[in-house]
Amino acid sequence: MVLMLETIGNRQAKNGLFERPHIRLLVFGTLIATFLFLFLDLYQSTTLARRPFNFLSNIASLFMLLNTAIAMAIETNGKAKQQTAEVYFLLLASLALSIAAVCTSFLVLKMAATVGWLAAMTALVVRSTEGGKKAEIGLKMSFVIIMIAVQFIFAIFLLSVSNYSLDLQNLSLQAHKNISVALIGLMMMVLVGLALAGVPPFHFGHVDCADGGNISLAFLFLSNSALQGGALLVNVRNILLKSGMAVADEVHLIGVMLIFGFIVLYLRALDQSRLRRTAAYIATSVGPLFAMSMLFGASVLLPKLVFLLAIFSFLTLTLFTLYGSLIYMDPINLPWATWEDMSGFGRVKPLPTLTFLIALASIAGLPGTIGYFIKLSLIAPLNKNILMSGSVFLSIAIGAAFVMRVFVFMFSKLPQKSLRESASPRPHISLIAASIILIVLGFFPFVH
Amino acid sequence: MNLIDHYIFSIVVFLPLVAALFITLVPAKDTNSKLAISRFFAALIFLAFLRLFVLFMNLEVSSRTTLSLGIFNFNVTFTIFLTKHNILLYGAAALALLAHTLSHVFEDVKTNIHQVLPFLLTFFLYISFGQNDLRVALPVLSIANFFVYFLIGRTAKSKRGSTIFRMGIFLFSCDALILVLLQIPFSDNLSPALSAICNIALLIPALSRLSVPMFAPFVKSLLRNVDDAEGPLLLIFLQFSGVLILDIVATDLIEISSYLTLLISLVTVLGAYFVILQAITDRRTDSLPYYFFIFYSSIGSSFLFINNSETSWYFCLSLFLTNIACFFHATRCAALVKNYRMQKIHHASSMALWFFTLTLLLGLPGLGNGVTLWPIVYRFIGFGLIDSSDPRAFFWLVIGIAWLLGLALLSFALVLSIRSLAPFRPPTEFLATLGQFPSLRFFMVETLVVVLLSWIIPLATYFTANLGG
Repeated sequence: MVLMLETIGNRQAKNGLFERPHIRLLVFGTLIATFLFLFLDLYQSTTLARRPFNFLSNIASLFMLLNTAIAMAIETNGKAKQQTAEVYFLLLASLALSIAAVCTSFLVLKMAATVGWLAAMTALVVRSTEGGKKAEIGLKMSFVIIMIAVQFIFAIFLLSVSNYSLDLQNLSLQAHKNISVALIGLMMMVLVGLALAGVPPFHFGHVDCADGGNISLAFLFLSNSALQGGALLVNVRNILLKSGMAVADEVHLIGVMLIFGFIVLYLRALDQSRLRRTAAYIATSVGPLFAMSMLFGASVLLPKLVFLLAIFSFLTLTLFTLYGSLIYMDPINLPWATWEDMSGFGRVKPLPTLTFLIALASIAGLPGTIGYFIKLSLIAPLNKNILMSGSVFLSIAIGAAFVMRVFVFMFSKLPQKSLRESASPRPHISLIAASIILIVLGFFPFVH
Repeated sequence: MNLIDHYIFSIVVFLPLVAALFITLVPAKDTNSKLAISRFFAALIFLAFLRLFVLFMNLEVSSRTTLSLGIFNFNVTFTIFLTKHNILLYGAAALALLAHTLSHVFEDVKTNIHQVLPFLLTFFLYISFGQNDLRVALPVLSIANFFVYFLIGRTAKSKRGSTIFRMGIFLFSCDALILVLLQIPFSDNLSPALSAICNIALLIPALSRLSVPMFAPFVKSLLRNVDDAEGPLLLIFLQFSGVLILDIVATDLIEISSYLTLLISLVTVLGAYFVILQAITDRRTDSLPYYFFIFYSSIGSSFLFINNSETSWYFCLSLFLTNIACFFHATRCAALVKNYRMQKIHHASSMALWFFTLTLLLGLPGLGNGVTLWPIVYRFIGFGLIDSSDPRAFFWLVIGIAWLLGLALLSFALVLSIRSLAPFRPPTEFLATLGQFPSLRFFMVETLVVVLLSWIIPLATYFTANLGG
């Protein structure tokens, strides 16, 4: 309410967060209080360790809160311009909507929250984008919002006409009802999940948002959209499981769509010459990978809960390390900056470049990073699906090509004069710690 | 002493990491202090290894060291193993580090990379040497490759970027492939062809690191784009990691069939001849040790598969380690000769040193690589002569002769490279310019040390192999 009043009353006031203590108190107080409530709720539950997937929405909400806090920290830590109360209102509103979208099992409410979240995030991204890219992002995201709304409406309609419940917790396909129509409805929900996770070729709106908007919003948008998309796909998988169709072709079809989108993103990243665009493609690929791990991933050595937390941590840590490093790489923020412009940047600023490279290696799944174990966790459960195993290997090989390309540009070429003269602060300790975690966790083989 | 003995294995493993931290803490511009600290720690690591070796020979050291961390009810356990197979690898890596720090002069004062990376590479090697599961060792070795790329990227060679690119993609993809294959539970009734393909795929990361030409398409580019000072260390790191992977794969993961043995032998021989042709056309003095290095690695890789026995492993290990020692010394001498040539000076003593170094590479019986080469060649030929009823016996005979012929051709390449040495100068003129270069006497001593090592290594291997328990 305070933020809303601030937004209405002082719309033109361009004061920053730290110049308005009551807003700061409200924002961080809300985040910490919600985080604590959720954490205590989870901690007290007795079945959490045995059935962590029953608490998926709570865990996802915790990480959404964490991601929002990180996004705000990145913003205030970097050199980006100070945001107004309006931005914080939109941030908190989108957080509330994303939590609602993940936690609710009612399809109509889920649709409203998801579409609302996308609209709020689009508003934020468009607001922070400069130049002609605004229109492109606005157009693409409007298309995505409409597409998702239509698919949701179709799903609701099809489930309703075939007399199925619109509460996902009670929904189960039964032989005496019209299964084929309901399956089409579920397929629509899958398409919504894929679109939310940013899986091409359904749309490339996520890439544009990550490319155009400021760094904190790119991080927040990609991480929370992956969480929502993954959660929705898990919901559909659970419905199929309840209906006795868990190993059916539908589930593997989702996997094929995810891995296809994942590889498309990597292939597109390879032929990009602009830096931010390349980083955006790579960062968007985390969404499909996260969704795949949620659906198919399994670890023999880790308890279920720890494995689930590892997947969530992978999402947050890699995106944080990637975008956190970009904050300290000034030239990369220029939309026209190419790889050639960044030649030898690693020699001038070794630390942020190294953390950036570690994040890329982790997303690519190079052996010795946590991303590699996340990818490997997909293979054993899908051992009969050679296509999936081959695709996972292919993604690592393409990822290696991409990482080595960046490495060569950053570290083996001589720096340009303009780069030598640029000055930026040392990376924050949390960024270095995150990149170390990405490497250290890669040495523990938690997949059999 | 008892307390140190109790933790000696952990001390050996973690000392390189401690050294890296200390060297980093010294101000970047104080290169002399960095050099002194690195030499001190390298000597300390080697001494700690000697103590470990003595305890191991007396069976007074635990074969496994476990480090565990418990958070709530979740325990993380990290175990490193000390076995008859890896003890000498630990020693060889310690010795290589000591030799590198003693011979290396730090020139780059701007970065910490050159001073610290040899220790970090050793630390990563030590961690992986202690593993008996490839799924643990390979990711560690794989990520450590980045250090190699950092060092290549720092050279002034014009094609370093493409070298890193090719090598990185190839090695990462190979590692990923083998790790993905290890996740797939294959059924026992695979067809022999499919089984052989899988086995070959599992061997690729090892053979590519051992620079066996058919499995390492990046080698030619790598040899031309590594620095004179750090190139040997990088190649030695790759060699150690290749030997480790080869050991784990050959011991635990694959069943060595006759088809696989024949295929590996054929491919390694063909690869070796490719290297020989390269050596004949190249003729550069400083490249020659690299060609010999790859040649002997190929022989070792081929011999390991001749029969799946412990004896083969120890023969191979001897050859690999002797090869590393000779290679390291030869590259340093080659760099010296290259320096003389640039100054257009040469003298009988320097020429004698170079010839003596080359004899270590040539495989003369009882000297340098020859100490371990000939027993292997005899075994190749022996397999052909002893069991003449086996149709494969003739093949082994041919392979053995092919290796000898290859060595003769490589020697021919060596003669060609010597023909283009710098002109002879009178002693007075030679001595006047000598002050700029490292002492020849030092190199003479180093040559003798390598000769001694070429005898010590097979002896140490023999004693380790015959150790009880």
